[in-house]
Amino acid sequence: MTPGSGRFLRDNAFLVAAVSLPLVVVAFFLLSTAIPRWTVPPPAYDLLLRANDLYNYNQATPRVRVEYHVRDGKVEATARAIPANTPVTRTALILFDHATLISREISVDLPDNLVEGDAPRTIVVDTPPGQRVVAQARAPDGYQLETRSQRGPGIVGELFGMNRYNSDTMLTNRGRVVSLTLPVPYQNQYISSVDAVGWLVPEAGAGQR
Amino acid sequence: MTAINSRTRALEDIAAIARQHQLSAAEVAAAIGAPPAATEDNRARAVLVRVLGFLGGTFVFAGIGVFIGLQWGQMNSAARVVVTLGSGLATFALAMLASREERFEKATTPLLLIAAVLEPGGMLVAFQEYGSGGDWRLAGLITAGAMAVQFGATFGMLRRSTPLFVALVFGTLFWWTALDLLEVGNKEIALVLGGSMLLAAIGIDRTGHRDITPVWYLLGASAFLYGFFDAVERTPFEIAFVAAASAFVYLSVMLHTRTLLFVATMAILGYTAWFTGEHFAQSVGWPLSLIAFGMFMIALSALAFRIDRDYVRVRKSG
Repeated sequence: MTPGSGRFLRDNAFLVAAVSLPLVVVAFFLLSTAIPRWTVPPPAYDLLLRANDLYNYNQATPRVRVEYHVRDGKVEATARAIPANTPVTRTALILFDHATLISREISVDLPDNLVEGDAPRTIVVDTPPGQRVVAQARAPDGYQLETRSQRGPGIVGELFGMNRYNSDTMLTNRGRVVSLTLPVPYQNQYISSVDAVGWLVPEAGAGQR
Repeated sequence: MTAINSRTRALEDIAAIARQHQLSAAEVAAAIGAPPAATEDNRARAVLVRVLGFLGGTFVFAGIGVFIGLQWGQMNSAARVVVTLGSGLATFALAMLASREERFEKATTPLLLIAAVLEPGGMLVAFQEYGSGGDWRLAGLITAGAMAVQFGATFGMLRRSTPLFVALVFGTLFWWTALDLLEVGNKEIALVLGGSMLLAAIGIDRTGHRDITPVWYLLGASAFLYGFFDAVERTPFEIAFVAAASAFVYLSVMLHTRTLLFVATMAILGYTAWFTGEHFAQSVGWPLSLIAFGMFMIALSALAFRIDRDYVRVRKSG
């Protein structure tokens, strides 16, 4: 350090401290976010998610309400007819691929001929060979699904009228956060609710992917 | 007798100052004999002209804003960016030019302030028009950072208080957004930024730009105490809040700042009101609690007034 810079620091000690204080806190929080990335391994299992498009005005959408649940290691879709004058909400089954970190919708052949009063119809969704679905919140490697809504535009955006609120869907495990980018239109929590159906784990005897 | 003494003392003071600044008797006499800079009548006219000038400028600015607002729907992306960011940059360039010309020197501050509003607005419009989604806070972070650097450099060049003030505003917004992006809690942000604003205010107080510090003392102390109360509320360390507020009273005396004294007094009063409502409203009864709180308020106000008179104001003028 040169005598000039030393004198500058001494003369402006409070200003230097004013800049250093938030800098130190930011550095501390950056470190606390970075450490789990080095110590916690990435997700090792695929996840099946259920997402609702609450504002679906597409007339082509079958007038059925679908519920996804896990039975005997398989996902079952139970379709019920939606009564007349009731808004149609579209429920999608989404697969998060842990290897590519990409989420994609899985097409399910839903019946489009159900009418009010018909018995519910159950369709078994195919799972990749050698894998079964477990309906537990936490994966065997510790990851679990979390949604954080009300993420605003920040103080600058608020001040300048950029009022846009988003939500994050993520997998978390001991401080490590893996963000999920869901297909459109399921990215926004205000028009879509997302929750986990189950984790895809290798069947007994089959090796993990 | 007293009047003669004070006149003698005044003459001695004038002579001391003249000797200190190596002024000749002729120069002092000429300065005393010169006509006053502005008569009362002239001053009133100048104030009126200035107020009308500010009002006129505000109407023009508001009119342009409304006009842009009405045309906004018909504008394409480039037009929107040009009309906001372009205007901001043009205003900033005008401010720089005005600062070099003595005739337009007074226009520098309002032009800088207008640029400080238009430029970040324009940058965010550019992000909105040409961005492809993502976290808005990143756009806010870049905007605040760029503005802080720009106005910091402007302060370095012009050495005026206005760009320093604006640089501090955007610097604070930058750190706020950065901490928000790192998912730091509100109370921690308030504590850190409150402390940082206070330190910056103390640092600036020692320079020739101390005119801008009361705002930073107010914001810094308020944010820090808010964060501190949030951290200790309903914990065994809650009483530490009163200690912190009292420390600010002491700091206000050390730094000779009434703003800090005001915030600290308000904090103690606010805490007392909160504490009374929380613990005594049910047991002692609300009316009695109010009476006790009112008496405490009167006593504290008197104490704050005395501290200001005996320590802050005296030492400031001394």
